[in-house]
Amino acid sequence: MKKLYVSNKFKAYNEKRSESALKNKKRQETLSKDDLLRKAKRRNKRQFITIEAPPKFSIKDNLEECLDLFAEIETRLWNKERLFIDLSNVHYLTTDVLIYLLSRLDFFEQQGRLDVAGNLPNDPDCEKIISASGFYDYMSFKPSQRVSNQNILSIKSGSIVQPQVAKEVVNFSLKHLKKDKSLNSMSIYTTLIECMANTKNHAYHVASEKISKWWLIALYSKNDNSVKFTFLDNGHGIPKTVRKKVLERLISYEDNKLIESALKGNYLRTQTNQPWRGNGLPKIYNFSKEKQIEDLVVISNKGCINCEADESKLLGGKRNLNGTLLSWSFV
Amino acid sequence: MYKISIAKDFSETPGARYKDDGPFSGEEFREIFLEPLFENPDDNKDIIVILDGVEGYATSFLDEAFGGIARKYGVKRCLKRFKFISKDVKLYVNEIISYIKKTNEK
Repeated sequence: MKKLYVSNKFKAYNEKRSESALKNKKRQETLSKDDLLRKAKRRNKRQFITIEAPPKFSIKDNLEECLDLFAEIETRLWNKERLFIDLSNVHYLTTDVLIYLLSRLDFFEQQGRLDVAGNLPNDPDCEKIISASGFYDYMSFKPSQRVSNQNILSIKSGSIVQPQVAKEVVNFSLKHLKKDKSLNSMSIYTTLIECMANTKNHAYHVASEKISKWWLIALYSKNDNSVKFTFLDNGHGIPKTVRKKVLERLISYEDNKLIESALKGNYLRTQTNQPWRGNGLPKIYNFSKEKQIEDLVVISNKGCINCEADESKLLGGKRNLNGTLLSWSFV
Repeated sequence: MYKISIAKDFSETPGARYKDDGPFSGEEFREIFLEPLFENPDDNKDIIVILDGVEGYATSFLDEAFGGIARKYGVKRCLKRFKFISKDVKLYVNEIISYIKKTNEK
């Protein structure tokens, strides 16, 4: 066999082959550069479509309007349109919109459909929150200077359970509230681990570091001396991933009822069907009922549950939150 | 008698259920610390578990560690051998016992 490859016939054959391969490579390189230029020119000719954020930019406090805005952003990004997100009129901002917006932009970037620009709010307080949140650490475009704000724990993201991150968040809360470790601070740690574990095991059908992510942000609010947390995943959502009763499988069931049932743990909702599992969400719900955490709100797909007020809402129309968002505060 | 302090011997930051989920999982704790104490069927010495000193416990960690060992070696044997000590988190003792009991007797 070896002799065959050193024969003159094969040497000539190999030389000819490598020459043509080289020619092809060069041709492709020049073509791809031209292609890129042409694409860039074509792209620059396309106009930005401006989408204006509502003055009250908050999922928790202005759910419908924010979801409508995100729906419009997503439709346009699917259509490969160039977007300019105008935040200039925002004068009230909560961190939940930041991580939701970031998670959706990250999703579209993975799809290669992200062509977005934007500005900062004119309101100095809102501008500070965005700059200090670390929002731009995840973006390819960055402002010239990053403002630091000790009251915000910058956005964290991951795809597995990260106990060290949970510890960091708990320490951030204790430092700002000037408290020592207690049963309540342990509840924060437990809630975070439960949320991360739910994302890892249930939220997404595909376990991929790039796709199956969770997002977390914490903000210390001087006004009411509390730390506000928001945890988000962009998975299929609680209503789509919980185990359903026969009747629920046959007829479509309201999302808010399914979330409520999963939180209260009154029916084995775990996909695994193992009776010893499915304790995570009921545990978080109990923390809220025992006032170890406050203002717990769970929004997933078309369902919204305010645990403290015992309110359950079904979102109207086509409004839908991709994944699950939990927000709570620690006083 | 055996003595295990979760915070000192394993981690102050226990994680979730499986090793796949992330570091310091219940599965990891069970395999390293609990299973070797149950492998000998004649060994029925008490196992003292100190729960204090950690940041908190997820339900999945506690269930996989203690419920998991009960699913493998039997509820009665586990309840007989485990003694849980906690000053800070007494609530967790009852929770762990409920996870052990939830398991079907082997």
